[in-house]
Amino acid sequence: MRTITYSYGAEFNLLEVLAPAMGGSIEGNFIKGNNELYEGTHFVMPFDNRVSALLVDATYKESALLEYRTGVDYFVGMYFHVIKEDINFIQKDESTLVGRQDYNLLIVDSLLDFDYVVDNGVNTYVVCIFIYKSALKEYMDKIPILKSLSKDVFNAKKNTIISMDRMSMDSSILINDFRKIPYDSPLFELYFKGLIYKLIGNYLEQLLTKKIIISKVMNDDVKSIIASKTKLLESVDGIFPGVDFLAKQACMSPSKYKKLFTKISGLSPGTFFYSNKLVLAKELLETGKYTVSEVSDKLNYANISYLAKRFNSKYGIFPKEYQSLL
Amino acid sequence: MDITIPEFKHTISLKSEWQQDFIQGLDCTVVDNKRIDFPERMASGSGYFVKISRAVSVFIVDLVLNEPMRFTRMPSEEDFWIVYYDMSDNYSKHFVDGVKHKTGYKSKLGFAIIDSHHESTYVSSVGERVYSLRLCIRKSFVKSYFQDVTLEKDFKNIFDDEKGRMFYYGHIDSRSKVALYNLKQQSMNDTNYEFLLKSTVHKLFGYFVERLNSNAQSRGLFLEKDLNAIMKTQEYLLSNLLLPFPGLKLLSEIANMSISKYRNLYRNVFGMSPASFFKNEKLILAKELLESRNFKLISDIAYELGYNKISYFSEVYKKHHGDLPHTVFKAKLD
Repeated sequence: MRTITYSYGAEFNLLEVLAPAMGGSIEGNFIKGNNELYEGTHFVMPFDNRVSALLVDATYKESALLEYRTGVDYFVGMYFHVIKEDINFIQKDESTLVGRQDYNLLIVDSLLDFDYVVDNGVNTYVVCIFIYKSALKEYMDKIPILKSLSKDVFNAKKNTIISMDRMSMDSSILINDFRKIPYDSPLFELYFKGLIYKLIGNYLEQLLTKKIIISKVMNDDVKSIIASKTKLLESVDGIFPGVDFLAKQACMSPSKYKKLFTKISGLSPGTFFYSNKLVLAKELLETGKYTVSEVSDKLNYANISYLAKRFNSKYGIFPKEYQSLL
Repeated sequence: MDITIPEFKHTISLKSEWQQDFIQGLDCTVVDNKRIDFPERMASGSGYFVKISRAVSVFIVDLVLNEPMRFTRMPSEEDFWIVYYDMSDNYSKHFVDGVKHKTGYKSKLGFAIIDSHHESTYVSSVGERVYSLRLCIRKSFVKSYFQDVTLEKDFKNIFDDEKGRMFYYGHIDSRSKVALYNLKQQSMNDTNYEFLLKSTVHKLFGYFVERLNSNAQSRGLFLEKDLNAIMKTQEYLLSNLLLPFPGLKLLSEIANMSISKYRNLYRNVFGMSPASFFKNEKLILAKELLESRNFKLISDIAYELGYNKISYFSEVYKKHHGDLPHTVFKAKLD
């Protein structure tokens, strides 16, 4: 197994740290590489002096241990993972799986050292946001419920921040949407900035509403809910199977299933299913290959007008109009 | 313009100083140097101003007027554009240099680009929610995105400084509309509003540049599938030029469409009806045949092409090509 160590910190000198560590070449804010270790792209974007962001899109050709070492204590990293397979996240000899069916949002204090173990052939797509604690504290102070908390949270002696969570559905849709933009697009930077602002905004909202609470140790129930959620997403073009059926599959009572599902995703199973259907409908319309009625057939809507009605209430525009004004 | 409504004159610029106009003129309160709260007797709601970068800033207004008011933006010395998105619940009137435009969610024209050198006035009805977003973009900054691309026809004159003091009205494109609709659901009092706004602005600006950039004007107007079907009928027509015109019914059946849809679509794509296209092609073929010397008589060609009367053939041919078949035929024989 190859070991790669990133030691970054002080001035967010990510470009200079990443390029030699990975063996890639720097092109503007991009690092592109294709060697025996990996193939992929990194993109670094400094925002202002307190926020900066990094995009990692890499497929590893051999198993690797990635060590993150900062040695400073004044910032927090937020890592949004979009990964099909699982990777191992190791912190203080404790290993946790990160991936599609597990945690995919990590908030880690820069004080903490942590490692990833990535297997051969795994594609990692990670959006990282680094924020100074002072900046994050300012934002959190403005939220009344968190105000009392923030004092302790940001006291380095008392506390180091580590939290494992799942990103909200909205955030994952945004990242997936963003992945469609090619790296050579002149607007790439612009859309990336837009994405980062929205992710921070969404995260603050997530803190505010506190809908998503997962205790540090993920138990089996939560795992099976996430698995069933993934299954549900795969069959999003079909008809909603019903909570009873889903609960049976996850070996739970319907009421427990529904309660847990709502806690984890912030939406009830039905709402989750139907809003994902609409996301898919929007994507299909954008391809320009299908008429509205074909989309409605494809996604098993009873009729076009129902699709149109739901589409309009979610996006504020009718599907036909959406397609013709693209 | 209804001049009985009290008018409030203000300026807008890329920097935040202009907020003073609202504080002094309307007794607004400014929170955090960003949010502008209007006094209750006048309007309930707020405005929100953020400087995104040195070249871009955004001003968003979300309020319900309690008494009639005209907002007139005075011409500015700074050289920038105001890109204007209106998602108001009802129609609002927008005057640029005295010309009236209707904008709003229900109106097709919710999108405008106005040069900062112009004066414009905004009038909306009392008791309706006004929701509009203005992007102020320095001209030189937009130009930096266009090095060697040709601009869409609609916008062509904008970069021309001679003619450049103009404005453009159009529809808000779908993606921007969805982004704005999402933003409309958020409250300005939330702590994360600034992030959401900034994110939306970046997206809008991206879409705006893409829109300026897109050459394919008609992209999205036609479905790829429909276009393919139309092309199929086109090929059918071209390979059956010697037969009489097959009729719209058959063609629309080939394309799997209703007759009226087929006819409209064909017209939109090719700018003429299938019948006239067929006739044109037939006459071009006629010319080729006349010049080919493979026929002894003009009447043979006319029959070959499906014309029963030679005189009719000659007449149509002359209308299209300018001279009689006889002249062409003779010239070739000699």
